[in-house]
Amino acid sequence: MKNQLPGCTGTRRQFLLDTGMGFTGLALNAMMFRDGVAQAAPSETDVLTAWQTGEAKAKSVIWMFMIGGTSHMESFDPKPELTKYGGMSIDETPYRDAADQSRINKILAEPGKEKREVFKKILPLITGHKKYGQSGIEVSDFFPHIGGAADDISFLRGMWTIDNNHGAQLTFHTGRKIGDTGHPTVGAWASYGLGTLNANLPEFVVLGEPSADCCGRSFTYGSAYLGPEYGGVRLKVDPKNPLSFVHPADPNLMLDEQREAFSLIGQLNQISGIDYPTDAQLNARIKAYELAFQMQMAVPGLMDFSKEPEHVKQLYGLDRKECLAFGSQCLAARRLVEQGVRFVQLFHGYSGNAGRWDHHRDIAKLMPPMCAEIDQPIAGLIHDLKQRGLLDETLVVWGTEFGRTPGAEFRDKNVSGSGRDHHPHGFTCLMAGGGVKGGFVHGATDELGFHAVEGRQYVTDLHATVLHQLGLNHHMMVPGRQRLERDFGNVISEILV
Amino acid sequence: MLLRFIVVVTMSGAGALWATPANKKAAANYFEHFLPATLSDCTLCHLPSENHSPHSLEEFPHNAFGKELAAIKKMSLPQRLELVAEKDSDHDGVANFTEILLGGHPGDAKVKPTSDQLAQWSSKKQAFDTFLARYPWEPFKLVKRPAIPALGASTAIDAFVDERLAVHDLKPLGEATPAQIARRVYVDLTGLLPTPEQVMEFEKTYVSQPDLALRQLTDRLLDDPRYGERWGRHFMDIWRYSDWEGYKGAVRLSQPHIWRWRDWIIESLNANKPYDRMVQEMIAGDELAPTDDKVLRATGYLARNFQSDRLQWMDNIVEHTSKAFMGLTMNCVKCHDHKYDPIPQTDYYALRAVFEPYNVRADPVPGELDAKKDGMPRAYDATLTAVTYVFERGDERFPIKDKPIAPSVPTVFQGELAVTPVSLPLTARQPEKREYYKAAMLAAVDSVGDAELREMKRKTLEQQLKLEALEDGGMDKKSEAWKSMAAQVAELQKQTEVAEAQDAKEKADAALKKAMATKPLTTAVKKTIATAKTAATAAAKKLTAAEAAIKVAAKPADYKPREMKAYPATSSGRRLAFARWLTSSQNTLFARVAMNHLWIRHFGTGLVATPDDFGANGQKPTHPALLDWLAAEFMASGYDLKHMHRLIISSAVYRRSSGSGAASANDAADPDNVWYWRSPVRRMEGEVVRDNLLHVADLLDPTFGGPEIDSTASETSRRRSVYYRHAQETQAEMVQIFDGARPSECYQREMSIKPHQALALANSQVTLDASIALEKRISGEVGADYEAFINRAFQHILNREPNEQETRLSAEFINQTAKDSTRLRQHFIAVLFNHNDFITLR
Repeated sequence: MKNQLPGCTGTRRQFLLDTGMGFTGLALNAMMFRDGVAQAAPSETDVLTAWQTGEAKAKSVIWMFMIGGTSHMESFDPKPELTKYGGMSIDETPYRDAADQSRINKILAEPGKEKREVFKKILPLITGHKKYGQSGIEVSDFFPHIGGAADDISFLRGMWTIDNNHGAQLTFHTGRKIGDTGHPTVGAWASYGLGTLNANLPEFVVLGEPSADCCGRSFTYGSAYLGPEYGGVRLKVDPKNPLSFVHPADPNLMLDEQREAFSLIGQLNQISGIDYPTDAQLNARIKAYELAFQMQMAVPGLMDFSKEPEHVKQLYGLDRKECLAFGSQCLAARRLVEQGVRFVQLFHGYSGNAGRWDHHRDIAKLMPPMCAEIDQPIAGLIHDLKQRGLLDETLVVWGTEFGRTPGAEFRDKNVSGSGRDHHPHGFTCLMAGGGVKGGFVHGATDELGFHAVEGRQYVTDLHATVLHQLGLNHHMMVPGRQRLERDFGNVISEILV
Repeated sequence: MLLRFIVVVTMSGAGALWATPANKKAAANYFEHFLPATLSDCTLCHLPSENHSPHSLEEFPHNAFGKELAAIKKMSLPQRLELVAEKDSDHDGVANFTEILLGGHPGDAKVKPTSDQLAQWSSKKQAFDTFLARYPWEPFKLVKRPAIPALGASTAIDAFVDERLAVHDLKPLGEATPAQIARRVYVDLTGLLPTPEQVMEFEKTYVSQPDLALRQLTDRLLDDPRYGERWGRHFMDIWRYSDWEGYKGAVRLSQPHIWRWRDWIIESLNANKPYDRMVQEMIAGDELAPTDDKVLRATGYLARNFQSDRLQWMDNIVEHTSKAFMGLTMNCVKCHDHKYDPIPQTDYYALRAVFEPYNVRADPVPGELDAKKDGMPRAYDATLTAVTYVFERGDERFPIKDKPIAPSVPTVFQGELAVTPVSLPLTARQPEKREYYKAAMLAAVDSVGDAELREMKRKTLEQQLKLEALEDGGMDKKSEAWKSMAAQVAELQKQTEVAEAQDAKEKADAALKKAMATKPLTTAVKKTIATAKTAATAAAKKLTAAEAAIKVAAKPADYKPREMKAYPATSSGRRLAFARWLTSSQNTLFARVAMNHLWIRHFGTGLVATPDDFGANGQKPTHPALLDWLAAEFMASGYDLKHMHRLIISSAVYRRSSGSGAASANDAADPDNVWYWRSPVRRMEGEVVRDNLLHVADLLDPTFGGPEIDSTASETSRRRSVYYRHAQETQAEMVQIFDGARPSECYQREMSIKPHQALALANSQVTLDASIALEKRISGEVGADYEAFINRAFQHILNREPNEQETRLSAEFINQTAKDSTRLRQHFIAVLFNHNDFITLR
């Protein structure tokens, strides 16, 4: 008991039975390292962990987050009434109840703490929209490619959140307010609950530049009390430098030299192993070195797309300048889940501040190029997963911290009614694959896109749904740690196949 | 099925069904290993439910035994158990305890012990009685020094350890090698490995006079200032050291310049300041020594808890003060009475009330006028009228306003707080009246360029400070003397204004002249000229006004006193009263918790495995008598930490071998070494790994203390790891990868083994630099002799010599003819830095 840390499920005894596997046996076996002991990854014949339900629909998750707050009306929840009443005050429309202050205050975490004016003068839609696919779901003209994939997607149009400033980026990932940083993210829970399928790679990978200092930063992919091994490992989509310490500080060190050095480390450690045959730590260390060498080799290769066929690259828009960055992240994500990575979290829109999706002004000018950056890559990812037969086992999630106001923003001279303010009362997220219905709409905002009025889902409901599809009980807990009911969220069963 | 149901309920945290999980725990604690596995779940007292997901206790009723227990009111479970021991609840002819101990069921008449089992009753009963009579672990009772078992052990610690070993029939191993002992002591006390010479020197004396050699070494290392750096980091873990975090100028967590508290920790440990005094200074230094800057740094403990969300701030200070100094999980009682320990919900708020008035501020430091640029973060009572209410179910939206809560200590300790307000001296409430601050103001005047203006300013400031001093000395502002002096200072102030205005005008004119002379006359230049013109006109206007003002004689009312921060003249005294109680023997857990922390950092695990929870839901101590003895000794020594280190290091259990060779009978009987039949094998913490890469290669920069260093520099700069910025977001990367302390909470380091660690150790710049430096040094000593090189490298890095096989493999590696020999040797050094034995203490 004494040497066991909380959360440790294996014992030294079990591990000792497993030693002597040697230097090369490792790569053949999916292993996971936890609390200093190595354990076999759960296979179907193994006992499930306490959290696993045995009913997994998805193996992996690709979680895409748009930093700054994407307008829901100009993406996946078009509202023609805005154009109809454009220029008028909400008070002059039949929907004047929407701007009722007490109704607005109700859902914010701390009413009055962050005071934001309700901008009532309606800004007309800056783009058109049309129906797509057999489902006939309406999508804005900024997203023709995603529109084309509508029959594979569930549209969650009744999302809401509790912060009307960009701390909501953290909220989106943990359910908690900014400043309340001690809570694990959905990716960490997935990684904690499931373990890895490929010992050469981290279980939880982060691609792209995450939320900035203002808005959650590393806490948006952190593992808090679950322990650092369950946090997201940032990889760069750069075959030259994808991981911390992945390259020797000595630029002249040849791979052969390093292999020889690693080999000698292994041999010397094994000699110690003769003297200390019962030292489980030593055996785990020997394996960790083998794994490190594998990872060092595997990770850069995964980020090297030179062997991908041109037509696949084109699917992700890699031949288009505007799509190159996010398209590469999407392609890397597919390559990672193919290799058994459980949770790939993609960020888009880093600005060093609130995020590039934060269109307080000039939305008509600034939003279209942003949409072009992600439209084809996301649709390409869905198509690519589908044609490889991976979409059924890969859950793709698209989200942002909140929507944007139906009204035009007039906060100061600079914004002068050309953009939209933050809007936590109703917005849209998407889910596709992994046992989720395609061509399906769940939830709705009112005619102005102001309040989520049907199928209202808090951000942690996404977490619950993701964990549920991965075959985990979403009420996961760690002894001694508090989680609120709201942290767990509810599984959105309406969208499940 | 039942087990699965329990898991689900626990996971969802549904309270109703587990209103008294404490009973299950209490029963398990009472019987310990005498409770058969078949009875260790809820079925000891309850019937299993038919329903898969029962919603109330009605579906989960008591069995006959449970009913019997439940019928007894107002008694603890152990007391109730004793009352029903001889009864036969299920009327099957076998008494309750006989059934429990022998393998029946006290609440189920169908399950009875067999006659074979019944035949063992007397021996089982005897064993159980012995067990019940064991040294009692009573964490809420005063520490009493237990009698040392008379076993002829060399030290008291060993007597307690040996007694347990004998009970469990374990044979302790012999001593580790002197080199292994030296390695442990050096790393434990300074965090740095011994050099080969230091090991040899120790070995030489140890062979003939082991106790003397060890005592001398311990004394020397305890006097080494690097002891404070090593143990400072340990206490920084427990006390949640964190550098500030925030966004732009807005601080969200901790405080800028909090390193002053870190330096205080290190210095206090080196000075062997009594531990109780240290804790008093951290919690109430501002009330204990309001004008002593050295002491005030200690309140960084409170300043670190600053968080932009006050609610979270108060939650943290209550939670972690309780965990660090009482080993209690008071955080559980924010919303409800404690489920395991005798702590009512109101205790949480009584403790919060101790901290309710406090806030943080930055005081000026010598040589700097702007406390934002460099200041001392510290605690003070800002709101003496602050009231604390119980929040209904812990929800701050529902304070129970008709019952304000007074500051108090947890009721279980039956203590009282004697709160006396502390009146604060002048320089405590107005820090800008400190002499060094005035000196800095005068120094700032000295830097004024214009001689006339400088003199004017100096004279004015001197007179003004003189007047301030007289005022603070009690001069009546209605007195003629004051009026006359105030008028004089006012006159000087007016004159200064004229001189300042003149100076400003001269500068503005010069700037204008310069702008007008600029060629060619671009649009930008034109713009500069226009701006300069406006400025010159404004300066002229100001001068005219100042010159007009000076024509009228200054009146006393014209005197402009310094604008200064003024803080309350009184501190509530709540924290001081609390700190005195907290560090007294009345807090029965203070010394026990501290000694457990000390033990963890010498043996890898605690006598109590849950150092932050000494309550019923935590782990019980493996050696309660030893822990009590250590606590008693610690208190008797005047909370002398160095004394306790000496005692631990001199013990046989500390010097024991960590074991080698095949598994023994000990391994089979006690595989996790709960009873210390061998010394534990430990891994170095991240800081120790990084520091020793540099230290072994003689690259470590010994500079002591000072502002935190950018953590991204930890790969290239060479200070000790304790000095790098340590916040949630930014820690030295290599340290973090080796399970660096989480700033938010780290009562005990984790010791994971991850491939990332291998990459960090193999590929970092620190390893590369150290390998190059150490190769050069050893090659300089041994020349071409490769065997000597291998030997020295092993000694430097692993503090041992290679065996034959290791020498052969190493020689094969460094003697590859086709390759550059220096490079091969460097790689070989790097290999040894990656050897498991480098980061391991055997």
